Amino acid sequence: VKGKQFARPLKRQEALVVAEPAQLRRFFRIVRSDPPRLVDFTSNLIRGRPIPPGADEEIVRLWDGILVYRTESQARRHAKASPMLGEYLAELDLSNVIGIRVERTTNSKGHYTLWGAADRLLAAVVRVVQVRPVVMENER
Amino acid sequence: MTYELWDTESGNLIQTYERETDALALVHAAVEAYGAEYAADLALLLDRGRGDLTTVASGRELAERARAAAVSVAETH
Repeated sequence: VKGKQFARPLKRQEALVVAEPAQLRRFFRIVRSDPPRLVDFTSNLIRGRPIPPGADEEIVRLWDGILVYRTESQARRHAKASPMLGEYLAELDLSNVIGIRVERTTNSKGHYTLWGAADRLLAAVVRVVQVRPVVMENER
Repeated sequence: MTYELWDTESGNLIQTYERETDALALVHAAVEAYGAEYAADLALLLDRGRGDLTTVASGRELAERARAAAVSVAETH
């Protein structure tokens, strides 16, 4: 029976589901320093940040997660629009990281939430790039 | 158009809204409950699509914008 199941051609939707875990291994996170620090991967909950009164269920659910973007360009766009978020982008490769849950969240394009230990997420960083070039004092 | 309310300290998107007033209501509720310091780490962004993303207000300016919106709503009702 198992052989028949594997031999059957995958329908379009099934193929996407099968392919998704492998594809959703690389993400981009806006961070404040190069190299990133543990605090760059620490959730609002762990930081002790109180949830705003009247927050909906999704806000509560995401409070212990970490925001990442699917592509570098999506993360870069947000970092440029709001420099206070950080001036570096960290690329995460979760291929060999266990204990991390990934979910597409909110209506923001390319936005995913990761749930997992901050030290594991930090260890998954494979590359860091600066969003904006440094402006030297004598160039201003 | 989508309004994005961010926690700038943790670098996390708190929620997205279709209307600015809904985002401001949450900001105002947080400031009322935890004080003005809470808004110091908040920013409201506006995504108009096609890469057009701008910051509407952040920090103290955002708190004041939220307070003004709350007053306006109270006067309307």
